[in-house]
Amino acid sequence: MKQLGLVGLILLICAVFTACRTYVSEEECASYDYSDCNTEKPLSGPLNISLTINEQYPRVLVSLIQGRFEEGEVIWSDTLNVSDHTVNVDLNYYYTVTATYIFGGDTIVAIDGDEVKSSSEAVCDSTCWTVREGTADVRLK
Amino acid sequence: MSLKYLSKIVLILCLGVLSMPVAVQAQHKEADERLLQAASDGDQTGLLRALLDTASVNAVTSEGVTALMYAAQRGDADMVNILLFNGADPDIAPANGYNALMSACAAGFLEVAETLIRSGSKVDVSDENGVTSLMYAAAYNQWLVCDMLLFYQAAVNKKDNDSIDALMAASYMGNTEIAGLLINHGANPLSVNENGVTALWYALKKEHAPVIDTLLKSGADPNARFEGEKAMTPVFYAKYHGDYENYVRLKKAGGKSNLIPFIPQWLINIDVADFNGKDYMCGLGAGIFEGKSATSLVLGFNTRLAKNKILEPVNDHYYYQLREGRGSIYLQTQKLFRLPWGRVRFQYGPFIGGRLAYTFGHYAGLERRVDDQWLFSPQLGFALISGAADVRAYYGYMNFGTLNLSPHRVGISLVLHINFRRDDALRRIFWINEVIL
Repeated sequence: MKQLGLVGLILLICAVFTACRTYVSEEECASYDYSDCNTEKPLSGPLNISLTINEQYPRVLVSLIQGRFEEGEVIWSDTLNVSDHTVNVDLNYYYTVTATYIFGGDTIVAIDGDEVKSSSEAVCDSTCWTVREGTADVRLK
Repeated sequence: MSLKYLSKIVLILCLGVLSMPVAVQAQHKEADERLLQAASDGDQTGLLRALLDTASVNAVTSEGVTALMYAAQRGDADMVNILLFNGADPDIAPANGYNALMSACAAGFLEVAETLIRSGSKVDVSDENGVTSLMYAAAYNQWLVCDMLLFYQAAVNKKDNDSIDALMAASYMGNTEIAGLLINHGANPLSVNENGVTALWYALKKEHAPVIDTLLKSGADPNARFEGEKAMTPVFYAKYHGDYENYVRLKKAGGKSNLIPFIPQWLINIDVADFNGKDYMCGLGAGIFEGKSATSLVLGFNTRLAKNKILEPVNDHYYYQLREGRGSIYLQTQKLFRLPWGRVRFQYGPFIGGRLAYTFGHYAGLERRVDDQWLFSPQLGFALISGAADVRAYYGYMNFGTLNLSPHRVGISLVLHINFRRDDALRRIFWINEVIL
């Protein structure tokens, strides 16, 4: 029974943490600090791309696809020579990034994808918007 | 003689006559105190003088102790005889009921005890705890006193307030001679106390092998259960406590272990890590564990916490590097082999096992999903085992068929055991001990 209690406690803790959200009482609304609240609905968000740039691969061809690799539309393409690059993209789409590494006669196309999306939360009489940034790790393993 | 002088003499005589009872009373009290002090000190001369000075032979201290009790407690047979000759009552006892005979029996003063009985002390009178002189003699290993008391028809099966009789006391103390003597005089080896404990149990708990032999030969039940622990038979108890000698003794006498051949427990299997150099998975499972055969069956799920980069060849010189998320649902069985050098509550040993897994997954950025597949992963490991939880480390072969991912993996699992019934942990430990004994 002790073990069951332990499992129950772990589940309860998980439930509490997953259920957390901002709650502001009416009294607190009067003095609420809105500096962290973005009340304007965002139209775009960042997609952070990580690359392997070294002597072997000084420049890498990167393509950004809106949608999945097989059926998506290439919306941006460039040859990059930096390890980290950020592209501002429209929100609430899934994006696929490909990075083409060529060395000798071998080609490796690294593929990763993520969604860049916005979410909102009602705080007192306002709506606060947040953007979940996307990440695409197309570094070589 | 003048009238005035005569009247003075008359007045003094009157006062003297009136104050006489008070003076005599004080004199008696002083003599009583001297009597008790002399008895306590073993001062026979002082005792005789106090008696001559009209001390009451049955005088008591503020605690209710008589001179006879002092004398009996000290084993002073002469003083006891003097006191009894002078009319001492041997059955006077203080509030706790512990009389002269009991103290003489507990201390093993045979002559004193017999003198008291011959002078009318009741053999079977008990103190406030219901303990008789025979029980005291048995508990204090006074064989000769026990023999004497039984000669005077002491009640051999009388029990105290906790339902403990003289045989149980002797068994607990490990006195084979007294146990045998009591049995020869009709003590019941099947008698139980208020907790259902028999004399055999007392002897077993103290590991008094000769007493156990005596009791078993006299008809003690080797299968009598201890009421407080329903799963416990004497055989079970001996084995559980690693008492191999008495375990064999009880088995030979027909004792049974009262063990069901199948001990199921619920089991929670936490895959803390299942990994190789390039891949890490963890998971959770639930199932059953059979305690006797130490075999578990688990239905579980495990997954990568983060997507893994894998290489997929398109042709000889063209590859996709994909980020693969993967999980699996598995059915796993493991069989433990406990090594015989463990301790009662902590064992260890190797195990073999296998995991039949249905794996599935997806690639980041691709519509195409990971090919679902059935895989079998043989396992070989080592476990640290306790009643409530095991820690298991293992090697497993799980080939996902990806280019840069080794099929050789190691894992660490934490296994929690949850009992169906309260007794099951005990039973499981018993079976664990099976390999130790």
